[in-house]
Amino acid sequence: MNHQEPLLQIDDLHVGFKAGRKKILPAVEGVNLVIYPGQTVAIVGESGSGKSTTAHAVIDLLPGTGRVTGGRILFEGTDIVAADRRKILALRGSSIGLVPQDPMSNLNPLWRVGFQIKEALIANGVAHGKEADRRVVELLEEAGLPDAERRAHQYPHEFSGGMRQRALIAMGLAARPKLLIADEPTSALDVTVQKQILDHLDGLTATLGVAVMLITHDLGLAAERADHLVVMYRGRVVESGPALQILQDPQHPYTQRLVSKAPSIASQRLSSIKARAQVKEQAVEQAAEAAAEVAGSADQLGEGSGQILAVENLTKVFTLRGARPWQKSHFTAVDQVSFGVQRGTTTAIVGESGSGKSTVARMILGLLPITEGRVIFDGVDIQQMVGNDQRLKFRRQLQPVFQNPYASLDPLYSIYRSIEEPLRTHGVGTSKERETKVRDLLDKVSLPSTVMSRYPAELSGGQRQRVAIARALALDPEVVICDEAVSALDVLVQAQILELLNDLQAELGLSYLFITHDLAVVRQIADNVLVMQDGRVVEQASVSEVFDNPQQEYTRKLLDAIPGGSIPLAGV
Amino acid sequence: MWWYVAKRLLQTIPVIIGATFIISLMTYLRQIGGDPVAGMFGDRPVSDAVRVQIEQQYHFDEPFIIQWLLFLKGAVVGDFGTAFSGQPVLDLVKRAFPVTVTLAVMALIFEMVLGIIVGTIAGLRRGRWFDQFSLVLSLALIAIPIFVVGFVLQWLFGVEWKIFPATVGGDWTIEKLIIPAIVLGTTSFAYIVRLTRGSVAESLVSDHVRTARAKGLSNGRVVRNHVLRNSLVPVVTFLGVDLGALMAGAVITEGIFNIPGVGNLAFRAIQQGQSPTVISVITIMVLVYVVTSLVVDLLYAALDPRIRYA
Amino acid sequence: MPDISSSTPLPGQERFVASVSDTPLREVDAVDTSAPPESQWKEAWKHLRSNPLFWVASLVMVVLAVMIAVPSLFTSADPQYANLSDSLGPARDGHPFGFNKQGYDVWARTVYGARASVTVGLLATLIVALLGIITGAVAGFFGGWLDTIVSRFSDIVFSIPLLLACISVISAVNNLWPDRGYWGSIMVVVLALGAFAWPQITRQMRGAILEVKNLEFVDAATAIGASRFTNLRRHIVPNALAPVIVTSTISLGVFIVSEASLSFLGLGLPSTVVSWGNDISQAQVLVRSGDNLDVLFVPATALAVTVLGFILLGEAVREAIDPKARKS
Repeated sequence: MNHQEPLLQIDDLHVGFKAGRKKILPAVEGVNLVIYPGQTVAIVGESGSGKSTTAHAVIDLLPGTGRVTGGRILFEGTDIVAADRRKILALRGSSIGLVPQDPMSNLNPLWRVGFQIKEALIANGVAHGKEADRRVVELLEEAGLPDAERRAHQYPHEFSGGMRQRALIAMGLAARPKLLIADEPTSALDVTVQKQILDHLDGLTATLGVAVMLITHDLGLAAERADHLVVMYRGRVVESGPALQILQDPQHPYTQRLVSKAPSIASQRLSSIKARAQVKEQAVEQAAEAAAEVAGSADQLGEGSGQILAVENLTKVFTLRGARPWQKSHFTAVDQVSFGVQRGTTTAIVGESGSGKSTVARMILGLLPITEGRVIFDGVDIQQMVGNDQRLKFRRQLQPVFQNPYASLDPLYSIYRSIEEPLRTHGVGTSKERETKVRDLLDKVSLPSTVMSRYPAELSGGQRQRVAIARALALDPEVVICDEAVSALDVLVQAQILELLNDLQAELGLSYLFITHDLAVVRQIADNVLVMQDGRVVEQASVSEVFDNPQQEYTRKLLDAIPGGSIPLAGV
Repeated sequence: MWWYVAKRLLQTIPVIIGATFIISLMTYLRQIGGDPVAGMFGDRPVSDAVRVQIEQQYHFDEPFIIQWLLFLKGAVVGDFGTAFSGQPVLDLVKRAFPVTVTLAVMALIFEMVLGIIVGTIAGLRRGRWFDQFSLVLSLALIAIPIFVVGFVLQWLFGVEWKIFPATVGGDWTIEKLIIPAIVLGTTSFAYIVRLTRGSVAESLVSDHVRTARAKGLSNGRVVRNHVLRNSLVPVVTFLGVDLGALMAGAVITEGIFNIPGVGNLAFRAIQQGQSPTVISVITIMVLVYVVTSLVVDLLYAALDPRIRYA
Repeated sequence: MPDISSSTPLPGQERFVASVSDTPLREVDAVDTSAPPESQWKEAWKHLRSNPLFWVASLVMVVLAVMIAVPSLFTSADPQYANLSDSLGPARDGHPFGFNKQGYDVWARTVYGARASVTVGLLATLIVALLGIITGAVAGFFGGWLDTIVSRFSDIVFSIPLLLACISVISAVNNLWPDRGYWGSIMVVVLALGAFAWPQITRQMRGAILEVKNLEFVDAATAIGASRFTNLRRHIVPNALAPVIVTSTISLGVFIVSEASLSFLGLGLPSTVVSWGNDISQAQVLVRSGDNLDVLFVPATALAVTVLGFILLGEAVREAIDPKARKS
């Protein structure tokens, strides 16, 4: 490999988007980047950092209103910014390949997968006809797709997410490009599948000598897979250099923030473990006080016992329509799950998609009927509750925070109304008293009270989640069920919300049931953890036990798959 | 896939039963309102013997449900009764059918071919003059009632410029049907232009088109394989609904241009209160709609593999 | 895994740290308190305001409303007065478009005709919207056999071509109730249209409800303790209304055209009622002879402009409400 000549060199790149007739909004400013043949360079940043825009600018695939407003992009020494149509077409696919982000929307649902890969071969003059068909199967096998011959004749909707991603990789590498742009190639996938695919990609690109521009929001992943890191923030490069150096010794304040808050890395730090222990101590104390109150009061449901939530042999079986109208198939989503949550603590349920963790949460919340088993809230079996009165009390004391910030608030309700609604439904206080309470709640979640008159569309994802948390706290619940509550948020925002949740727990003595697919986050927020796979509990223990001494194969696999989990940090 | 077909076929049965019920009900209402027998004979007097004979022949004396069921029974074997003029309704329909079918097919070809072409160009050149122009044109065509378009074109081509005959009459040829077909298809043409335009414009900015470009495909190939192909789906869906509108429009178009088709037949029969003809003709139209709608749904399944292999 | 020992970085890949002044840090996820609060409706209104087509449509609406309320502002002639000697007469003082076959003032009839035509459109739209929203909500929300029944029934009604159904109903009513008078005639046309045109709205509403009912804010409301019906009323239906509003606005125009079509066939409003449909249908014969074509074109243009106005309004509202439909 010739290290003297850079394969791709981006000099002082400026990209903007047309807004209205004259204005151009800058999206990327003054970006410099160099990639050598065979190297893997990672661009790391949160949403809005400009990392994807930079990548798309390289092959002239900016969305309609995007323009390169300055700088050069040199590929093998030639500036391609000003290149004509034909030159760019020639480059695409055969010199520079793309593996895009979302595997579902990036494959045309109407054509067979094999055909779509064949297109790449034909367009770049690699093969035609029967020869191309053969090559397609080879490429799919190369990308790690089992049963490639048969799969090539199938349609995208018949593939799983991981399989689609492999097909996209095969497509990107079909014409053997010298540079592969991988735009968040695995962020839509389960963690274990992610690891498999990235490992495979690494091996493939090493064998073929393909350089990779890896776009990702995950600092740990970037450091694990790349030699050189470029950190972007709001359209600019804030820091770049050898991956490990940046991780162990970040210099720019933004990079320092990222390194301290990124879950996969932060969770390894002793400091965050200590912080959690403190939170738990305070929370348990608060909770014990609350428990005494509950035991003595008729207004609240429950006995005031130490175990606020107990789940016994919980099972959920769905009846699905079979291939024929009279056939029915049964799908067991949750199979004999049992666990308990102590007052003032957090129990996390971890699992990949299809593990049944969300189904468990929904059953506990009473949103889904239970097939078998019991859910006992503070000594009361929720299926045995009689009358509306008891049910309403139960609802007051157990509240949810859901995953999708863009769907968890009614877009037609102002923030004030959204938070006030629970108070209204339960007839709490006068309208003046309710207003005071809403202000108080907003304060608790660190939102200015001016937000009250605003609407969800005006707030960011993180802000909406905070409103959702405020709403959940409106009725002074004892238990909050967080169903992937931070999974849809950017890294730094995620860290903020986790901190908020911890603070609230210490202050109010809340008990959390925290559903997540991200094991790394668990260490920062949970005391006990349940690992689920295919509806069953695989392992159940305290967080430290699971992390330090995992018993089951699957748990080990999950831990192993945490991106960046294996990177040694200085001064840990 | 076959289950999809079977399911769709099963769905058509209640539709046909329900539709005939409703139509029979409406015509029955007409019977009880006036004197159907007198209506048949216009101003001429009716003798009692003839009256009784006719009442028995057309079952006017039976309750509504019986009338409907008798009609259904007849329909199943293909006997749609006899018109007041004495001819079997089925014959009347058979004679009127070909011209209406030809008219409808011509209208379909016109609206689809021209509509998709115009819509695609507009979608590809979004924001430019062709797009704006086609948008305005399509809006105007939807807003102007079909019979106004009919009059205008009839006057323009038939009276003013004398290129095509203003009316068609009994001996019809394809050439004579050109203007009526354009009139019939106008509103649908406008809808198809808008639909195609929106669909093409949406496809152009979709993720999978970007990926197609990233593969190195030429613009032509991207448009053909990935934009157009995907845009066809909503247009085909629209077709299913459109056929109903075409049949309604046929009534008016055939009226304006004096075409001896099914629409005209229905209209005159309704006016003259010839209930058996009315029910039969409308039922046949409903049947045609149901069958073609089924065919369109199958076409849709052929185009979109997600339906087939769901 | 990258090599831990630090090798000399390649040219262009040396350690780089941007100056903090060039890349100032913002607070994480701070609330932007500078802009004034804006509800979804306000934002939609902003988009609507900046759309020129919206203003064109509104102008048409305003003119129309005035024409209906105070027709005398537009013409001093009497639409019910006819002088046969004026038959097909040319334009003259106070009669800008001349006279039709019976000697009525063309312009006056057009001005006064707005009332009947628009009333039919408005009332039909209201009935169809009401029927469609209720049936669609029931079908979408409750699902199961209720959904099947409603959907099958709507399929049945949908399969009968609207115009033919109206023709049948109206001619049946003609026998039952021949002298209906002004309001009677309008109600018959409105009810005929309303009885057969609702399936389209039902389908839309049902689809929208199916989409909305699975959103998380509905679950959140359930978790608070709201009953199913409260949820339906407070959260689901309001969020499902947007596409229905758009379609209804557009179909208002379509109903006005339908009335005209029915009148053309002699089955709409009786000829005693002044309406655009009647005028246009009576003018039909003139096309062949080529006489005073204003008789045809004036009411036809009024009709087309009105319908266009409603369609433009509907399209403008659609763009304002649905950000995905915007042309930017």
